[in-house]
Amino acid sequence: MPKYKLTYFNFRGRGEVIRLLFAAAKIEYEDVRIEMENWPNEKESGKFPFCQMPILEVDGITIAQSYAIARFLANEFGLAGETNLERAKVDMIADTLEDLVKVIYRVYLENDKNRKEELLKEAVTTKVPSTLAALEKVFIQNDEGFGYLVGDKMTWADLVFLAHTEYYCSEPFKQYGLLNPHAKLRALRERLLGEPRLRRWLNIRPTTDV
Amino acid sequence: MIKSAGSAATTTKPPTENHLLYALENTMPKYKLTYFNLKARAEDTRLLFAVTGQDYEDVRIEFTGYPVTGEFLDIKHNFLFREVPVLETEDGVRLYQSHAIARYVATEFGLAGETNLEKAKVDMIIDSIDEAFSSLVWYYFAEDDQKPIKFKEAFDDQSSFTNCMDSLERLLTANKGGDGFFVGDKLTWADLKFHSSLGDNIKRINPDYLKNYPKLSSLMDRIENVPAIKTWMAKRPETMF
Repeated sequence: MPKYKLTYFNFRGRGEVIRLLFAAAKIEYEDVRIEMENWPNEKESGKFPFCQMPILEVDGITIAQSYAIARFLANEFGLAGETNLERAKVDMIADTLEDLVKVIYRVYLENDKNRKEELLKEAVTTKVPSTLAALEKVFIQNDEGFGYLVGDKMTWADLVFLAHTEYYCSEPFKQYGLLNPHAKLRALRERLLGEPRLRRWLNIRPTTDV
Repeated sequence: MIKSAGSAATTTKPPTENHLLYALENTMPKYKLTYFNLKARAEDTRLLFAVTGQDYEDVRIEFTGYPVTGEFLDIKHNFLFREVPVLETEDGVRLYQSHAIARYVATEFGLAGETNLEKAKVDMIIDSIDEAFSSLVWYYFAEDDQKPIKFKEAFDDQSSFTNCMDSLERLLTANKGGDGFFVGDKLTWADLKFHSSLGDNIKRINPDYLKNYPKLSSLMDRIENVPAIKTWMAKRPETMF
C-alpha cells in the first residue's frame, strides 16, 4: 500500500476534490495543511515543482497541479471512468467546472466592496447559469441524469461538482438559488451528500471559509 | 470558415441551424476538430494528429481579435458550452475543452505517458504550461500602447511566466539529463504542448529569452526535426498566435 501525503493550504479550495477522492476510495493519507503565513517559508524548501500547492507525494515522487493529482488518484482508485471516452467526458466536465470556479474565486478574492458586488452580479447572471444549464443537459444525456455525471458509477467529476456546489450553496451565492432551475443536478448533489464515505469526511473535516 | 483535410483547403459555410443535418450531409470523418483559425489551445491536438499521421478534418473559424466578433457569434449556439475547440468523432460524440480533447487523442495513440505516474507528470506539465500561456494571450490581445507593458509583465525575471519556465527547465533536466523529452523515453503530448503554447510563441516574440533555457531550446529543435511535424509546420496556415 503506497503512502500518500497531500500538502495544501488549510482551505477546501483546490485541495478538496483530492480529499474527497481519498474519502470515496476509503484510502488513508496524510492531510498536511499549511497556514498562509507559513507558505512563503515552505515555498523555499524546493519540494514544490512549480512553487505552488497542492502537491501529492507518493513513493518518493511529487506530483503538482490539483487536477493532475486528482486524475492520478482517480485512475489508481477506479474513479476515473471506464473507457478512454468516459475519461474524456470526465475531463471535459472537470475542466468546465474549473473555468466556472475561477469566476467564483474572483468574487471571493476581490476586496473592493463595489467591484465585488459587480463581479458577483456578473457571475450569477451569465457564466454560472449558462454553464449549469449546459451541465444539466450533459447529465441528462447520461441515463437521464438518475445516476452519476459520467458512466454508471461515481467518478472524480462528481466530486469536483460536489466540492464546487458548496460555493453556490453558501454566501454570497446562496441567495441566488443557482441550482434551483436544475432538478437533476440538485438531486445529484443530495445523492452525493448521502454517500456514507463522503458523509463521514464532511462530518469530520476542519471547517474553513473557502 | 476554412475547412481542410490533408493539404487541400476549401471554404465551407458555417454550420446551419440544424448542425446534425449539416454533419449528415457531409460524410463524417473519423475526427473533426473545430476551432478558431489560431494555434492557441488547439495546436497541441493538431500536432498530435500530425505526428501520428491520423487524418482529420481541421475546421477553422475566422478570428479577428478579442472580444470575439463575427462568424463565431453566429454559430456559437451550436456548441453546447458555447466554446471551442470541439472534437467530433464518427460515432457522433462531441468533446469540449482543449485538454480533454488533446488527452483523449494522445491516449488513443499512446502519447499521454506509459504508466499512471507518467500520465500524471504529463498532466502536471500541461496544466502549468497552460497557466503560463495565459500571460502570452494577454500580450497578444493588448492594444499596441499596452503591449510593451504586457511584454514586460510576461518576461520579467520575477514573473510567474519565468517561474514556470524555470520549473520546466528543471523538470526536463531531471528526466535523464534533459536531452530527451519531458516524460519517459519518448515524445508525449507534454512536449507538443510546450512547443505550441510556449516555445513557438517565445521564438516569435522574444527569441533571446529562450536562450536562458538551453534544455528547452534543444527540445524545441528536437521536436521540429520530427519529419511529420516539420511537414505540418511548413503547410499550416499563418495565424496571429
